[in-house]
Amino acid sequence: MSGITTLEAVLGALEAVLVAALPGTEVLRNADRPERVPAGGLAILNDGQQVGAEAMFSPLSYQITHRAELVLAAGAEAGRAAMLRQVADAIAADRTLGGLVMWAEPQAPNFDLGEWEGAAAARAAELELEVWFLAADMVA
Amino acid sequence: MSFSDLAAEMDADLCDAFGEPADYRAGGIGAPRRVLVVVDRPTADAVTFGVRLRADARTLQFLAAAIAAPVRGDTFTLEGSGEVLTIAGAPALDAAGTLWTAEG
Repeated sequence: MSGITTLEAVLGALEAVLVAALPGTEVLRNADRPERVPAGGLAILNDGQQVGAEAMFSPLSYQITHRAELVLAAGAEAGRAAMLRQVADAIAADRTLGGLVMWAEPQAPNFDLGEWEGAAAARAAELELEVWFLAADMVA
Repeated sequence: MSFSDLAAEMDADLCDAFGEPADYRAGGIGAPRRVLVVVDRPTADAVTFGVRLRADARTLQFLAAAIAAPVRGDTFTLEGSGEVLTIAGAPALDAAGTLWTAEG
C-alpha cells in the first residue's frame, strides 16, 4: 500500500463493510457535526486507537492491534439490535477484510440513551472493532 | 398582590398570548375540552458516546386552572392543523402551582 498507512486502508475497509452491511443506515466516519438519527439508524465509525504493537524480526515488522470505535443509534431497541447483528455477521463473514488484516472481531457493546429534553431518546450502542494486522512500523 | 398571584397572572397572560386552541382529551379518549396550549418546538442536541445527536424536541405548556392533573397519554388536538400532541413522561408543575410543562 503506497501513499497511505495500512491502518487507513483497514479503516476504509471497515467503513465499506459497514455500508454494505447496513442498507438504509447512514454510515459516517469521524462525524464532527451534530447528526440526526434517520429512520434506518445512524452508524459512526471513529478511528479509535492502537492498543498493541508486537515486534517481529527477519524482517522487522509489527503485529498491530487496533480498536476502531463504532457508535450505532436507532429510534428503538429492536433497530439497534438489528444493526449490531448485521455488523457482527458481516465481519464474521470476512474476518480478513479482503486480506487486509489477519483478524477482525467486534467486542462487546455498551449501551446508552441519547436523551433530549422534549423528545424520545435515541437508543445508542458503542462497540470496539478490533483488528490485527502486520505493518512495517508502529505508525502502521 | 402576592408572588403566587403575580405568577398566576403572568402564566395566564402567557397562555393567552401564545397559546393555541386545542381539544384536550384525558387519556386520548372521551369528550374534548377546549384549552389553550403553548407549543414550543426547539431543536435539541444530545451527546452519547462522544457523538452529537440532533432532534426536534417539543414541549407543551398549559394552565393548571384548565387541566388540574395531566398525565402521560393525554392528548391535545390543535384546532388549526389538527395535529395530535400526546403527553409523554410526567408533566412538571411550576413552583407557583399554576403552569404545567410537559414533553409531547
